[in-house]
Amino acid sequence: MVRLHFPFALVASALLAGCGPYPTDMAGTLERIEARHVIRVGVAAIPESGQAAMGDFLARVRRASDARVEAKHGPMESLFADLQRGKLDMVVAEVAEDSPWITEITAIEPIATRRQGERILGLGAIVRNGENRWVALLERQARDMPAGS
Amino acid sequence: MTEGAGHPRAIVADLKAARRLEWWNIGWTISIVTVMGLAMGSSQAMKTAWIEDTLGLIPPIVFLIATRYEARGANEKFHYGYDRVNSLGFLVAAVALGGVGFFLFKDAVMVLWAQEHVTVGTVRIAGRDVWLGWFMLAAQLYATIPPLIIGHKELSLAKRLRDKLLHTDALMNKANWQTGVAGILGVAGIGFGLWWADPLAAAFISLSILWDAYNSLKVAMAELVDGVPRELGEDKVSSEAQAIGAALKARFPEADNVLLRETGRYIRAEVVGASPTPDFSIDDLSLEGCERWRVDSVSFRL
Repeated sequence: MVRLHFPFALVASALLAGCGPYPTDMAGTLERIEARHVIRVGVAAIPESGQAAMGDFLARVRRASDARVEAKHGPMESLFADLQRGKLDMVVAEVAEDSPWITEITAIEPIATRRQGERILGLGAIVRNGENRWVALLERQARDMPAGS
Repeated sequence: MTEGAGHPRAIVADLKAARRLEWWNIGWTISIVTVMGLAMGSSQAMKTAWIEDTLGLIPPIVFLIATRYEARGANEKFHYGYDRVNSLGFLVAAVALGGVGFFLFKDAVMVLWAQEHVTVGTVRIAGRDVWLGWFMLAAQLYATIPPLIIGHKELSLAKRLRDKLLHTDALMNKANWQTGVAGILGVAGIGFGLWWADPLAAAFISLSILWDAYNSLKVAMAELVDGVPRELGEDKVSSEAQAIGAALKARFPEADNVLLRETGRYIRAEVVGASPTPDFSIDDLSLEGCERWRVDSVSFRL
């Protein structure tokens, strides 16, 4: 019979590690943003109809995290690769619900959607998987956006 | 009992209690599967716990079917009755337990290998954003309590009934509550930013489940190939079988051998190289350390 000492040791170490906010980020994205006051944002092509909403959203995120935005423009695939490597804190882009990237990254609930052919494209923030505190902050800002913006 | 219908009077009440407990088990498991399904999100431990809880339905269902069949008397197609349905059910339950351990281990290793980071978002309730991890923790806690209680009750019944199928279900319930604990640790670990907590907790629990399943399978196979009766949950020869063997050897010292095997919860003995005396009755044997109902029959071979 394998004893369960390990899980209890795990809890103990987790509790020791857990003196900060809860939940926290696995790669410390929000902690870094708060320390440096800079959000590294990858900006992919955004349709004209969504630009005002995205501007409003980014302004809210800036205020909530007390940081300025450092934008990097580029093609979506390249920005996602940078996001996964930790070179960006988030990407703002239009992503289809069935995008092959959807399991590799976390798409925050969209601030605007539009239909293109068979697909529904959601405009919003995309972050690395596991950044749960950062995700919570972005979800809050997305939900606080006025309806129909 | 073998050729006759029904169960020995000595175990009827316990069997009734075990059947009632298994109905409760099924009811609770269905409720757990529903709650876990609603809360599982993308946590690996939660998904695996959900699969495991679903597989946990197999032993109680098999137990209810097996005890129903076992009560049937012999007929023209089954001359020895249906005692061995319990043995078959035991094998099915042991395989299900092994399946649970295997799924848990495979998924945990794959997540560790891929270094998957799990995102657990929030949901807005009454204007407040609540981390979904809290719901997962609540669901896991809910999923931990019923198997802990039911499994504990099953253990004592399984011992009295010498029911390996029920004992395996108790092990399945142990697996379920342990996986619940792993899930709690895993989700709590995600909250602390420890991506590996979720799969590592699951991997450790799965090893314990696989060990139990391995032991159960060994005993189930021994029973199906007419091995000497084993202790409940162990590969050790049953002390009751030893008592029967000793009593028969004492009664028939001229016998070459006394062979023992188990059909379901009953032990059958065969005395080789001796004939029964006309007044021989199992009831006259001095079966110290073995309840009378356990001995189904004693046959003789010259």
